Amino acid sequence: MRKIFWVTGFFLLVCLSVFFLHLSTNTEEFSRYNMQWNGTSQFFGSRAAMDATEIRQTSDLAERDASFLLIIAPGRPFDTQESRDLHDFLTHGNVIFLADETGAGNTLLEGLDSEIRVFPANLTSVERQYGDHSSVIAHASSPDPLNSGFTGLVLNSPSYVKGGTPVFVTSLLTWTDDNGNGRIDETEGLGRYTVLSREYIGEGTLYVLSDPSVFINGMQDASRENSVFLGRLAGHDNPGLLIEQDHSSTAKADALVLAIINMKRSKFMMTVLFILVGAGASLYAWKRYTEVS
Amino acid sequence: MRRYILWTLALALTAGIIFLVLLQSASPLLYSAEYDAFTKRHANPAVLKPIGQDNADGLLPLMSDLLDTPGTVIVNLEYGDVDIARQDLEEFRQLSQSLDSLVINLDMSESEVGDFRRMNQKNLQILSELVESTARLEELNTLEIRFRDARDPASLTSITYEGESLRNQVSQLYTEYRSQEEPLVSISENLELDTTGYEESQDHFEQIVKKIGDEQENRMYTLQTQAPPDSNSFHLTISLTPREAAFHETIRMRGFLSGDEIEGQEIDIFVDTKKTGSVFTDSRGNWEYRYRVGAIAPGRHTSFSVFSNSTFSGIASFNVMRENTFLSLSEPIVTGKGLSCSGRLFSDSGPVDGVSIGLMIDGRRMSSPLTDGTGFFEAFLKPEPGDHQVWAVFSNPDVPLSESQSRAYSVNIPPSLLQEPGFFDSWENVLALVLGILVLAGAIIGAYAYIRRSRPHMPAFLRRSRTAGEDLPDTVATPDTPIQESGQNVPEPSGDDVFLAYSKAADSNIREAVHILFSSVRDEIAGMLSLKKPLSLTPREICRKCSNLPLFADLSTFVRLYESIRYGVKIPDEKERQSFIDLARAIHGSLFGGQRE
Repeated sequence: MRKIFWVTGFFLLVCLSVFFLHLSTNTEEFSRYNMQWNGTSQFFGSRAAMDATEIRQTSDLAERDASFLLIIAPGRPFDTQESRDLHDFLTHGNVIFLADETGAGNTLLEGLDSEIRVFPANLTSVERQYGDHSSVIAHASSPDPLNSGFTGLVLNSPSYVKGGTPVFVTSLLTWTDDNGNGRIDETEGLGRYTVLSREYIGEGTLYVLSDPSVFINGMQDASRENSVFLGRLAGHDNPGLLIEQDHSSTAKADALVLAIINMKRSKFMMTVLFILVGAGASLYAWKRYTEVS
Repeated sequence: MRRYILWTLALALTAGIIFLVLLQSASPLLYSAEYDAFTKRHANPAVLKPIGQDNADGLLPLMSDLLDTPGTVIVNLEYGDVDIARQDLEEFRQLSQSLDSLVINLDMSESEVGDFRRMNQKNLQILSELVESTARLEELNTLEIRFRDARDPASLTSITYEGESLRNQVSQLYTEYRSQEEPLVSISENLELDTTGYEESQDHFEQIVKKIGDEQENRMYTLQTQAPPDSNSFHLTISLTPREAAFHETIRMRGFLSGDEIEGQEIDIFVDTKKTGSVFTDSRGNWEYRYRVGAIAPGRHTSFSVFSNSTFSGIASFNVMRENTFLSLSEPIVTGKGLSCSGRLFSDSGPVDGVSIGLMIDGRRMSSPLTDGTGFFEAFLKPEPGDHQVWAVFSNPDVPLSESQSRAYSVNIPPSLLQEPGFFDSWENVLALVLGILVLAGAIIGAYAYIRRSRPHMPAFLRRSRTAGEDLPDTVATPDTPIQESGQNVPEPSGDDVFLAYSKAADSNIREAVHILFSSVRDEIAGMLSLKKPLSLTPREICRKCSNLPLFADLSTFVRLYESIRYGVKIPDEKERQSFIDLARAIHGSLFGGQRE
């Protein structure tokens, strides 16, 4: 009797865990709470990202130095004040790494007085990692700490950037597939495109990558040096890693997930939850005991 | 009756579930990563097949090699190393085949790389002909010396004519090679390829043309000045009308033979040193041959006639013009069988007959119908369901017609066009159906056997045999009813068979035995208290129902003992077994004691 009780209890516990795990995740693109292939939970679950400081408002960037700010897949433009805060942050000798393929970060680039711009496009290449034209391989261009020793970086449906100093570029056998048929047509010309560009502004360094997909879970196991690249971005030995969590699509989650996440973050709510669960379990055990006796 | 309804319902549900499972048996996959592998922002690498990088990595170096190789071939020809030039040409051919495969594998036919490939193929063709022509000219140089020394004017004339034809041919090849320079260099520069070697090859080619021209002039001079007078008494002429013609037009080649016997003599006609036909002279020695322009390159060509392999006419030249073509394609018709495509090909001079038209779907040649006398062509295609671009192309370098392409049409092939096989057309479906029937039959037989096997246990022990008219007591024991002790006045349980079954089972399986006795007690209590669904009640719940009855104490002890034996690990001793029976008797007595008196 006791054995069946514990077995049943174990399975109930597993079911409840799976249920809450299911509730605490979602399918939003780039979401850090999305554990599927198109989420970024693995990157945010890495040690470096867990140790990083989350930036929820640009005013938190004031007076910081020797920091590396990651802005992954911004979902909306930056306003004037935000751009000014980021400009001050950058010119004070910090690094901003913007990963954007939609052009939503172009307002920020304007605010930073940068020459770099993101051009949304369906970049396609013959030189690719997988049997899909979107898995473009980029090669190191100008010498940079982010590309030293690289033979190739695998991208996933990237756009391209113009301006600045190219750090990673595609091969010449690349084109923008304007009609989306996956093939090169007579109207689509071959050329070399820049996917990661660098620009020195003030005392700081700005990087713009035209493909935030390198951060998704599905790309974590991509061959080539993608993991090395992410490691360099996260800066395992860099205590000044900052991750923007206001505009970034990595912070996206639906209401239920956010409620659970906020509850998990709140020590008071967690305490109340433990008390309620403990009291319920005790009450049930007492009832059973009285019944048996 | 109700029981049969439940069994029928259960059976129907089972059959329904098996049927539903059967429906999924053909494609049992409920979810696959491929279902949501593509979004607007990216694709799931887990479902994409990794590909080798050798192809793409090697493309540009291969193109670079292909740019340099023609120069090597031409330089070797310029310096007279024909054998080495042949080896270089073979290497060039193999490299070109590699490029062809790469362009097809990488699906780049319509790109600049595809254009490069087409021009490279043209270069390969030009160089192949150049190598053969140069090799033949080398032979002619040797033959010229031999025939001159042998004082053989006929053979000397023959090789001189052949040399003239080869000179025209090489000159034409050079024109074509030169015309490729600008577009090929432009594409190559876009792809950051070094074009120096290719551009230099143009100059070397020009030197070859000049050298061949000089040699031919010398040959003609030798023929006119040093050849001995022809001892042959025959004389042959040739004239052409018109001297310019287009594809499928006719050139009249005429002449006359003079000499001793001129009637019925066979005259051989040569175009570019290749015999194209023969005719016979009439009574006056006249002959006429109608040459129809077909598979011949545009440009200048030579012709002459020969009688008896010894009498040569002079050389007459004519020009083949390249005509523009116009290709029309009617709007493709989607039919139940596929896609019906038709159209017409016209040149400047009218319908083009007997040439192959390429019907393209999304850049791939799907069919090559021939045009008829009216330029009409027609074909049925069977593309995959989905959206496609369909167009027609005409391209044939062997005929003096320009390339042309029709307009492209967007067509949608609905999935219903697929020939969906019937259910019984697939052996897998039949097998699944047979297996399903077997499983269903097995389930029915198994269920029946299980019921048959389990029925004798329960009724034999638990059913109470009652005589007709005997009903369960309709009064419930009151709390005041005293507990009856076992004794003479206490009636034995009406079901002695229960105790008998208990005794039989107790030796082998005490847990089953106590369950038999408990079941009997439960039924008696349920009957006495008119409990609904007593089987759904636990022993403790039955005990709780009797909390107000005098038998409660005995029943509590009975239930606790029952649970310890039935669910515990303890084997009761003789005393406990007897106690269990006594308690059952006491409960029975308490229930029926006062009632039967």
